[in-house]
Amino acid sequence: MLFNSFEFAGLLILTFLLYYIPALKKVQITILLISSLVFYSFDQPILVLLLILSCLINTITSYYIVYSPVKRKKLVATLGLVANLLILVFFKYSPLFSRSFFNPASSVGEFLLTIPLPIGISFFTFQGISLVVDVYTQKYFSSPDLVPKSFIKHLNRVTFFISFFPQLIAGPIMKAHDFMPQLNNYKLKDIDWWFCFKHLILGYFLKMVVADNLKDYTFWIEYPYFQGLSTFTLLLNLVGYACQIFADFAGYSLIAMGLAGLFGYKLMVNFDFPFIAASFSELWRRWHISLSTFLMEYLYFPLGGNRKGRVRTYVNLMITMLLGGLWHGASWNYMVWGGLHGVALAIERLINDYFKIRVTPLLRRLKIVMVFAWFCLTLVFIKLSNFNHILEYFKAIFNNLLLPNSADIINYVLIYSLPVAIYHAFYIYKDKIFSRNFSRQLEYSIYGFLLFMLLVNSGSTAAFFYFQF
Amino acid sequence: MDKMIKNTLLVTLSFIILHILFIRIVDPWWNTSQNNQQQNLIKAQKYIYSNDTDRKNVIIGSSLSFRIKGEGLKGYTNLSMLGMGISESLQIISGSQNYPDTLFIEMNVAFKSENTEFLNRLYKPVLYEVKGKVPILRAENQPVGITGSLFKYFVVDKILKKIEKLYAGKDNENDFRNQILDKMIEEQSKNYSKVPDKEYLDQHFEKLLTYINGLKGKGVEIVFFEMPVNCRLCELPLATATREYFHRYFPPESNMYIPLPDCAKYTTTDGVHLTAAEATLYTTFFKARSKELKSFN
Repeated sequence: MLFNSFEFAGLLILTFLLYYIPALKKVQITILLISSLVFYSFDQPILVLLLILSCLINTITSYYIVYSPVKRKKLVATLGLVANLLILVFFKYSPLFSRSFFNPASSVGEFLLTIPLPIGISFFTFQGISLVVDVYTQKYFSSPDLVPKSFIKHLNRVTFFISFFPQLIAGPIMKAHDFMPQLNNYKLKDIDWWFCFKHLILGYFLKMVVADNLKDYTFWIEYPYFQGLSTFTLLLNLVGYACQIFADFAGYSLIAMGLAGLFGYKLMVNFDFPFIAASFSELWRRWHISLSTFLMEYLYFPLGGNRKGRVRTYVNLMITMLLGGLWHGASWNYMVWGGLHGVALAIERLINDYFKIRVTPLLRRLKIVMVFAWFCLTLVFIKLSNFNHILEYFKAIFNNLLLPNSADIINYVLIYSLPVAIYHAFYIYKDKIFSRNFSRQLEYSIYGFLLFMLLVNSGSTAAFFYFQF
Repeated sequence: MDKMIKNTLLVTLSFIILHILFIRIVDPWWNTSQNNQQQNLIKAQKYIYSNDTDRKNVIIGSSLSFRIKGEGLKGYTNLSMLGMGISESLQIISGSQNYPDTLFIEMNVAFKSENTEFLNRLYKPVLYEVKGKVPILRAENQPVGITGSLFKYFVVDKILKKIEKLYAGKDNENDFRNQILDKMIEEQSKNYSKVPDKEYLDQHFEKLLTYINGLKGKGVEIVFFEMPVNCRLCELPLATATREYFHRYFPPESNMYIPLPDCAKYTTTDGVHLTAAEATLYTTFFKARSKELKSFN
């Protein structure tokens, strides 16, 4: 069910109305839970069973960690972790195993290719892992406080945490320690209407006006269409693609925040103006923050982080980025993409460890350009899954200098990427802009314009980019 | 209601009013489409929502026949769709209450399956009716299309022309372009060497037959034509299978055809699309041949 569909609007209105009926105050979580399961089952009804299974596994695991004998806790936690990973690996990576390790025509190979990919599995599985680990380590809370004695009540709460519809399909990946303490009853007067309204407007604008229009031009990055394009068009199209993915994913995250806010819940910020990052480590602190913090907390740190010497730090970085890349899709090109960013992070760390470079304002700007350029170039590995096609794309960049430029692509990629540039510029100059007397007028004027553009200039509907992960 | 939200909605309403006034007063006459899909959408919406009843001659097809246009073709409506086949246009015409006297159907990409995404977007429930009543919601009136096309014409095109002048006339430029053209024709040869399976073709042509017979029943005269392509592709399996299927389902004895001209006499940009100059040549040929047809007045 897309956020910009009539069906979703209907479900949202109905849920909202029921949620705030005073007589139904005690079952607010159940209302959201049911609504979330309806949301998930709309397109793939049978796969809601997998979601329920995931919720059940995580409920049982977290419950027994808290209420089983001390010596069993580690075993239970490990089993829960393994169960989550097995579900993810089986449903997401079976086709990859089939293509890579079996003959796809063999019975095993053929079977693995038929395994369906449940939407949102990468997201809700990670949330389950977060719950199991947080309950086991008690790093953020005392588990008995958060895990009620009543198994049914705990099941209700865990299912809600994992399946809450604003973030179910494409995040942000909420950590249990951030979300579970928010579980409560909320009143209509608790809603910050302006917060919700502007997040929804901005989110839908980025998705429907920027991303959905840019996709009509970045389509030309596909094979064999890119072969006849000039070098400049090929490079600019990668910039457009970077802006498209940002607008699509950040747009989704903003919509999720706005929707969650309507029910009293706060989701974490998932994108913090990533294109102003002046280093690769800063980029990953600003891009898909929920995933990068998840990987840092639940993978990088347990591997040893930077506490086991320099070489081990680089190895840990590479492992984290390779697996982070593979998380994005069941294809080796995603792993290579992650690996490229891992290499960039490792080299950056190496330089910082051995050289003390004074970062002047000019150098900072150059670094911003360099990080952005690297980000754009590596996106070829996301867009094209075939390594031959990836190679052809880079060859075309070098060879097609003399071809005529495509004015249409250049023109509209520039125009539709402009809002992303302005969005980042606002962040850089926000103190200057919003310290003035007319800042409130400016704010509602901007959102008024964005809403107008949303109504009259939306592109053709496409699923959110991260739905495929 | 929160004051900020109220003010935001007022600003939105102001922009909507300004946009309505702009469309009414200025009525942009320039091409406001931003890309191929949108161009198709604009064409389709103009056909569906327009009150123009003078649609004597309509051409439907793909990006190949899209190039039939210009001064030589007054009195014709070109409903050919970029990147699509003929199924979509047939549905648009069948669904409208305004039938042409003569419908010219391109044969080249008749095998292409229906673009359901395009049709769903065109006929989306509720929005389809609303767009009929509220023109500012139609694709041709998008603000970025209106302003972006002007920006492209006055700024981007001029800058790119200046850049291209810098390396125009370089010795290896033509060789390089010919290499790219050869590569494209090579790719097209692979496509033209493959014919879809019989079951698909039979189903597809049965569907076309239903649409076309329906239109004939409404008094529409049907004329088939084939666009010339690079001569290396003209007799490959896909091209010959296309002709065979058309002649089987729409026999020449009882249907009108504009003959295929000599492919060797036409130059293309990529093996299948005529250059601008060749498109003008073909337009003249097309108009002359269509006039020769018996019942064409």
